[in-house]
Amino acid sequence: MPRHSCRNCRTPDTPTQAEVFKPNPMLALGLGLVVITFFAVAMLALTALVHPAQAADLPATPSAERQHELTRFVRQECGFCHGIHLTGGLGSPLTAEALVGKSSDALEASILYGRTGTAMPGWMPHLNESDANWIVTALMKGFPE
Amino acid sequence: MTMCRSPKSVGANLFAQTLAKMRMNSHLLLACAVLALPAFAQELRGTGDLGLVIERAKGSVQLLDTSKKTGLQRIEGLGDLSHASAVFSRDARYAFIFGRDGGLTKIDLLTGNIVKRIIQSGNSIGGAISQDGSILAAANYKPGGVKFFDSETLELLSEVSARSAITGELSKVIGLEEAAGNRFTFSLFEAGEIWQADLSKDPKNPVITRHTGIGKEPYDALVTGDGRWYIAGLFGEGGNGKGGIAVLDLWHPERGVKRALPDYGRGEQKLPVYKMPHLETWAVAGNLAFIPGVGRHEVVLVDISTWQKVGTIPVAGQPVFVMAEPTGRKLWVNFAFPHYDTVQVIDVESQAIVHTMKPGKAVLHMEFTPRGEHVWISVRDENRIQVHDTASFEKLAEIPAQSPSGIFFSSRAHRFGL
Repeated sequence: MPRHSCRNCRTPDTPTQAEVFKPNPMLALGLGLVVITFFAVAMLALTALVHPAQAADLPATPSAERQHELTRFVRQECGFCHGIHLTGGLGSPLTAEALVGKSSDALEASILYGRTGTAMPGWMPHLNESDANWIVTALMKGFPE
Repeated sequence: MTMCRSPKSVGANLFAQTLAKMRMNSHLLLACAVLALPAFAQELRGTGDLGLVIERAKGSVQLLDTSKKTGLQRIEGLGDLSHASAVFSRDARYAFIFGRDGGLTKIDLLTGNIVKRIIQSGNSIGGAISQDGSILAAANYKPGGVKFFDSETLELLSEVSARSAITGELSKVIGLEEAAGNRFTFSLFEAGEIWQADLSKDPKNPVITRHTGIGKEPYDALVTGDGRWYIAGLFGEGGNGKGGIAVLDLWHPERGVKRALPDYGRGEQKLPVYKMPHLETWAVAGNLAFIPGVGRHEVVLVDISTWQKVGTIPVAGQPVFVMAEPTGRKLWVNFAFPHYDTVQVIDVESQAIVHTMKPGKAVLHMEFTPRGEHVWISVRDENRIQVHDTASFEKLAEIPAQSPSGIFFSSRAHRFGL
């Protein structure tokens, strides 16, 4: 379901059929509220189904511009230890093959908080949760050039 | 007549063919003289003012002329150079580039040609060349070990597998340095050992001496300019597991490895280390040496007669390189993310910061001209090298380069520990 239609449904000031014909102001208001509430609930339920992650209050996907920055960041800064092609160096390889079976939550935590007992530093506050989430998802799919 | 064969670039070849046709008979000698060298060096010349810069994103190097302060030629096809280093033949004509992907490439600085290129391992970190220039050694992460090559032919002479007798595991090899007498010294990251390989008797059968239990996670090492001391930085030691150094006296290896600065930083909160510091040059003024703080925004002063920390100099970020001018009078310091837009200069005598500059985002390396009148600074994200006067700090030139990282001048051919 396209998200824009849901947004329209939710918009509070969208006139409803009931409001336009005004047979009875109180009834119209009641009907309007019922209709709006119904659609709002339906929209939320649908959003939760389509985007379960967002329903759990995770930060939004980084903007296209941020994704571009992150791509460069991973290749260049992470690349010092993990290699510009992410094939590993002092740090472990981060290719899609190397990450098969790894927990994405643990990988995100490694990025944000580092790994105790290793040279991997925590990158907070330079990267936030949505950055880390996007990086891990991208790494597991095969990182863009 | 062998010189006639050298240029291999398309432009030079066309030029060569045209000239050769025009002057084939009567001017053969003249044509040979013109064709012997590429466009940048159509005269007899030495290599003492030549060098190269690693262009890490593209896997290319650019040849540099430090007299004219200019780039000469780009050489492509060197693979993954995201962490690369170079050493030079003892005639300073050839550069050997060690690439991340295990590539070892021999480049002719005069002709700009790749003389030979091999893939010697899966994942490499750097290398060194023997005192007499005959043996190259490559430090490998995967599989962990060191390989030795004939510097003339790049043929494999021998190899050492970095398998610790104590842990039974292979370790990544770091801090591979040349020691006098066709010996090499290197460290095992995971095992925490320092090994010496002696190739003086037979390069095909290196004799290995192992120093175990030298400390956790040696991350880089250097040999002092006089070739005497091998010093490895220990990432896994000290407060919060960062700091400490291991020292081996190469004049007296039988005395074993000594630990120094063991309590450096102990009990103090340290900052995340976004890039491993390098221990490349060793600045000594009197008995004082200067090394990058690990996880700290400071340069550490060490008295090398006692191996005690005797002071610190607060700086703009976590140092990556602390490099001494050839005169030893000033130190140039660059920094890890996010302070890598900055370079600071420290006067050794007063231990004061005498200059701070911001060349741009991602200053990765600095290299001094042989006698130190200029410093060349690579600024990765600005895609340029900047040339500065080391006395006035004035910027003298900018040279375009693609994501430049390490800069290596041929004068390294005649220095110890490189």
